[in-house]
Amino acid sequence: MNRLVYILFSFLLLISCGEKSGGGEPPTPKPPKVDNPRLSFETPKGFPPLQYNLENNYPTEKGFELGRRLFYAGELSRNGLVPCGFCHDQRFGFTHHEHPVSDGNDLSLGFRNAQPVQNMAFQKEFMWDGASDDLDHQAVLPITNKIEMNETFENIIAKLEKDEKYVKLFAEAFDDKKISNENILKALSQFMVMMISSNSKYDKYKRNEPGGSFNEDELKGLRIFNQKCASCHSGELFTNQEYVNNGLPIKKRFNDIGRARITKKDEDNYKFKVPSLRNITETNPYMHDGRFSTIEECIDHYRTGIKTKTQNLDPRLIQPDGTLGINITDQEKELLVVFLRTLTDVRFINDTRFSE
Amino acid sequence: MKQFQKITLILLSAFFIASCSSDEGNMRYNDLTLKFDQVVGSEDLVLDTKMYTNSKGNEYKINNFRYIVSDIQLKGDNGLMADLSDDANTFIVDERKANADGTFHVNLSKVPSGTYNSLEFGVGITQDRYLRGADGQGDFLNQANESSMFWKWAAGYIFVRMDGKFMSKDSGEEEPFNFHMGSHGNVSKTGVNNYRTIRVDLKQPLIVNDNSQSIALNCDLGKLFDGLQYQHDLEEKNSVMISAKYSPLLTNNFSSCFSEK
Repeated sequence: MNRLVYILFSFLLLISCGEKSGGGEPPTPKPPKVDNPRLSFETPKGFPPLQYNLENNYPTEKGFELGRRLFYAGELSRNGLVPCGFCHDQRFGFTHHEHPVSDGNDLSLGFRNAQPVQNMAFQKEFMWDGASDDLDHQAVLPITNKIEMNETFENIIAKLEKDEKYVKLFAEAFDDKKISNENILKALSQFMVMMISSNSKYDKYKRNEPGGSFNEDELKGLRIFNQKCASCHSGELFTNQEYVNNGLPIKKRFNDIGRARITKKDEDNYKFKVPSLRNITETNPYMHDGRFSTIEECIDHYRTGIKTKTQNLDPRLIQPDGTLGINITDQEKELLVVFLRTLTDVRFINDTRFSE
Repeated sequence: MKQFQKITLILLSAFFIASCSSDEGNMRYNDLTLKFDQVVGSEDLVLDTKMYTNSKGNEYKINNFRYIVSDIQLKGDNGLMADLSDDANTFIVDERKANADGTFHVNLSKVPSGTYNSLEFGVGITQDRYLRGADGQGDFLNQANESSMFWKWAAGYIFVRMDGKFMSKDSGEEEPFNFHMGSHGNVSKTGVNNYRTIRVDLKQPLIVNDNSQSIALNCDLGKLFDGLQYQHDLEEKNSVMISAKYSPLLTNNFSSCFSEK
């Protein structure tokens, strides 16, 4: 009982204090409050549910700006030269153009193709094998990976603390004002969460907007796509976010077992995450090891490239008569390419908010 | 003392600049074309299809081949010099954009009349120009971006780029290879400078006087793999980008690729 009175009393005092300071008395000097408004975040119509917990780390003007700078900061890599944006280049849908597998230094070559950074807030898991299921932790992998950026957070913090520009940016972006692991990752997440690609011709077609009228070939291509591709490349992200062995011949050089690297289960051997097809015209080369240079080669793989029933080959790629692959005619292949071109979001590729 | 030297130098330079510009009214300018022909040994370079073999036994073909040519200068025997080292005279030689005869033309228009014995040019972008940052690059940054000859500012420009495929004996399969040698950021921090100056002594003195002249050059890619000091094996390393070890080795090899036809 006593306690309740005490709480009520304190509450009254607080209110009266508030009034007092509002009433002309000079307040104790505080550092000027930086105006750091939240950015507006909207889930595009038809997109799968948001996976990122926005309320934990809502993108703000300053946090986003800091994230953008960190995305392009050489300080995040050991040799100072390989920022995130090195392999995730905006010009190519945030991928590494014409570069099959990524490497950041002279130790050895990576074995996976850099995936596009887009619509990250809607993805359940990241990387070809789903090595990370949290956007905030995802960036740790390339930053600390010996064959990618090869840096430690301890070193990064030491480097950033020496730079007044970063000291100021962190202080403006985060309440605790600290240059810390957590804030580096949160800033990067704020940047990546805002990277939404949803303004391709296809999107305009779906939303019935100007610039979105499909010609006959594009409509045919869409129909064929829905019949023959959309059981894996489903929904508005064009991926069911599952792991699938799509029948690629296994390269001895890497012997990459894919999802099983994470789960250690035989049933996941050679399975890789179904990639989104948004901006696919811009992101060559293709597949987890970047083995194909053109979209046509990818489609040909599904038509005639699956030669052997490798372990865990997806049943959708085995026809009732036992033939491997998907039955796609020459004409259908052309129409599919026509349709896939409508998934390119020129506004996103050129959006200066995301540029270095 | 140092201060005194500096002032003398500045005064001297000012004097020279003044004297140059007073002459400029009488200076005659001419066109000069540098014709870069990309070859592999004695064979012409054919992209995408033709296979070549290096001394390590790697069988390879080339899909992309580009390099940046900058800071062009012509020298004569009595100190005469054509200095075309300004930003406007920076070019990306791109085999994909070569003429029907397989040569890529770099067209220079402000070559003073004179007799020249040697040609010098840079492969890449100088450290000074890199340190000017994005705003100091003019239109060339756009060109480099469009040709995929630029990374990010942390590193800078790609000076020499060769992408291709080779038959790997290790894997028994065709594998890609990518050589991207370029700027390693701030040289004072990274210690790696891949900018190289190439000097080609001309077989005959080149007389530039009221006429259009050209210099025909070979760029022998075979020497990129097989230099005098270093021979590269694609089985050992098929991707060279930011590599403090391999990038300078291949860059050194590349600077021996040029000769007059």
